[in-house]
Amino acid sequence: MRQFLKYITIYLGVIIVSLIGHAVAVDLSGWSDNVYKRIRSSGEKSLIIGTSRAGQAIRPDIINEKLEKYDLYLPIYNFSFNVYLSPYGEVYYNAIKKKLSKEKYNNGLFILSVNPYGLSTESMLDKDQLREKNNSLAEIFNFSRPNFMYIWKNAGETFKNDPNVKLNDNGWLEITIPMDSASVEKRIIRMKKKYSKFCFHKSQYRLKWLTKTISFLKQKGTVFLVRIPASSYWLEYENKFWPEFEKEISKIAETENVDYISFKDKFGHYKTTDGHHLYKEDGAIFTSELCDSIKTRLKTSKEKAANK
Amino acid sequence: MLFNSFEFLLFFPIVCIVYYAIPSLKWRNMFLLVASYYFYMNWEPVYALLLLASTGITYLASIGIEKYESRKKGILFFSIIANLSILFFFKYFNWAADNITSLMQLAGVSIHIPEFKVLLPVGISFYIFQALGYSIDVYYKSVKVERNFFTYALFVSFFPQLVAGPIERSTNLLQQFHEKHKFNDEQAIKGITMMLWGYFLKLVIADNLAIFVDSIYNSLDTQTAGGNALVASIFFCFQLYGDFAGYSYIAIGSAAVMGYKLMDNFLRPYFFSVSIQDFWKRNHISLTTWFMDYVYYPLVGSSTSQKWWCFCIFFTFFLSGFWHGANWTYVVCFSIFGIYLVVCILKEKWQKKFEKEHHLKKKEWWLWLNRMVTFFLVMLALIFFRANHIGDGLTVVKRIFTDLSGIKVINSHPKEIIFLVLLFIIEYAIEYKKTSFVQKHFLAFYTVSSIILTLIIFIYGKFGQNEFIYFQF
Repeated sequence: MRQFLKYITIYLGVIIVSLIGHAVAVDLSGWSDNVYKRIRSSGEKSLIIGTSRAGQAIRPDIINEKLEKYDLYLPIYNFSFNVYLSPYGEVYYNAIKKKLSKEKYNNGLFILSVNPYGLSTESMLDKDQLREKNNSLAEIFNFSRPNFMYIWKNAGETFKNDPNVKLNDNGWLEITIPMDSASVEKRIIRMKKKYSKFCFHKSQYRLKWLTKTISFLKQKGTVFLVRIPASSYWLEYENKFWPEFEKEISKIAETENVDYISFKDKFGHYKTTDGHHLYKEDGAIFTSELCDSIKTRLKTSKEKAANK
Repeated sequence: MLFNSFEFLLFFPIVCIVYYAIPSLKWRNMFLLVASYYFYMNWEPVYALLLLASTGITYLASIGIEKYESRKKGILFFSIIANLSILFFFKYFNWAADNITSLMQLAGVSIHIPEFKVLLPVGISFYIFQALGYSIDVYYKSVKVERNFFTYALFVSFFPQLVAGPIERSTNLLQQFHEKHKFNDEQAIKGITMMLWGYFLKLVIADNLAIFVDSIYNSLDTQTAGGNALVASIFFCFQLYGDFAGYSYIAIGSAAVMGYKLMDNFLRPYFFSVSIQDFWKRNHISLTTWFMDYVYYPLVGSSTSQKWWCFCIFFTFFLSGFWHGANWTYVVCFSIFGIYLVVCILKEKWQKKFEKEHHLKKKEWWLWLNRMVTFFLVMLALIFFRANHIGDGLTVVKRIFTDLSGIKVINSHPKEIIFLVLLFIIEYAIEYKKTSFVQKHFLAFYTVSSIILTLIIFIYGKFGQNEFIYFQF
């Protein structure tokens, strides 16, 4: 027994110290993949929510600057991931709750990006088969720093560093890649090939959870639904598998008494990295235009409230 | 409950602690039986009834075989038919129905055989064969009848090897449940290290290689270069090995921690087999020996006809293809192995003569040449094991022989190459017994090995809870 106890003590001791040491070192080094920095803190009061389109297109720093004078709890944090981690559903809803401050307040700002992918399932599956069921957001109990669970599950990734990708402290995912036409075209082809393998179906489950998310966030502040533009190809693609998307989102916005800002007419207007995601400079322009739309709507709401 | 799951990492130490804390052998066995059924029921609880049914049938049949000497053949026959019927219904019925329907349609007859929507019970091929093996051993008086139902039920359901083997023999495992095992430091340490080696094979080797293999085999089209197909096929050999041997090592290691010795199931088949016969003496040993002992040797009987041996060996492997699954690709794969073995039988005399004349037998270069040829032949056969259908398998084979463009192995897959080199070095050391220092520095070696394996698994392991390939059998 003595030999075994010696073995297990040394083994567990070295492993535990290594794992804890590694996690602390990784966190202190500033390492992050597309997810880590977003799940190692909570207590935010305003959020940008959605998939990767929102994660890359909507710049929190521009919102903070342009909406400074409004009675909103800023700074805002970009809590958007991607179509696998953060489609609307119970998993994302619970993650949003964990991210938000537990304090009572009602002047938060919530920008919910809506697109067909974040409200679809990949086939006619019931909710038990949802793609986000076993992912990081579902498995992580709390957003602590360092987030040991996340680092241990992705230990191999912590030794990698993608120079093209930077997850800023405000949650904005900054992508810096060659934007010459040949590189962009290559990425567009890859993206189209990737999506051609999926068979998206409108999901009542996800629409229900979008509504729940809106209802929950309305208690904490002002909610805006936003349809972020991409290239014209994707508008066609989205219209094909969900022709009534605009109508249905408008209806939800009306029912929930929130504003829906659709940039549907601006598809093809901005530069994209791969047809799907706005390039960072165009994201800045888009965010600025979004802020103008938000300002107009805030003004209108204020006037309506005053007239009452 | 998968071995590579958090639940198992909790389940196993608790079971070990409680097991050793129980002083009585009888209650230890009962506890292990309950733990094994709990382990199995984590997948689909109702299928534990099938496990129980197979156990009950073979238990009663074996008692009947011993008691009714004159009717023992009939009783054994009943046991075999009943168990194979369970296996057929849950594993092959829908497939057989599809094939019959297609055949009848070809003949111009339209029939409809209803489909049964049943999940394949995990491990059914393994535990049914293990139970059948016991009945047959009792018939041939190789083993005494086990009268204690709970002890026998534990033999069939013992959780380390229940769902993916090794397919244990009653002559080995069953008698171990009659001995009280004291905690043995060395055995426990070796057991844990073996489990970690199994996790390394599965989570680091198999699951990393699977990414590239799946990307090629799941989208075979005109764009797939032969070079990529070749690399994917080579990788698949090691993915299969890592997956299955990984499971076996975890099973053997976990049994060892509790004091039980399971049979070796893999002896470094891919790097060191000098012939196809040698490959099958090293690869999935428990299944190969099961088929040899219960199908091949009874078929061969006392015949000295080489033609008959050839037929029997081909037929045995042809049958084992069906064991692997309800898909013609497995049958084709193992038929190819059957053909290889027929050739081995036919050329055996000539090869021995050739090697003797040229003094080749112990020459290293000759051994390595044979190993490379054997690996290539195995890889060709296993293309059909992986292919989604026979057509895909033929496509891969054709591309490999007609177009080797697209090979960028080292640049594109550096990590995978490093893992395979590491695997080779370790297996080389074991194969050539360069391990004398291990016993001299037992604690240091096993402690350092365990730590290194664990850290490699943490850094490079894929933790998406991918199932083991052989769970589908």
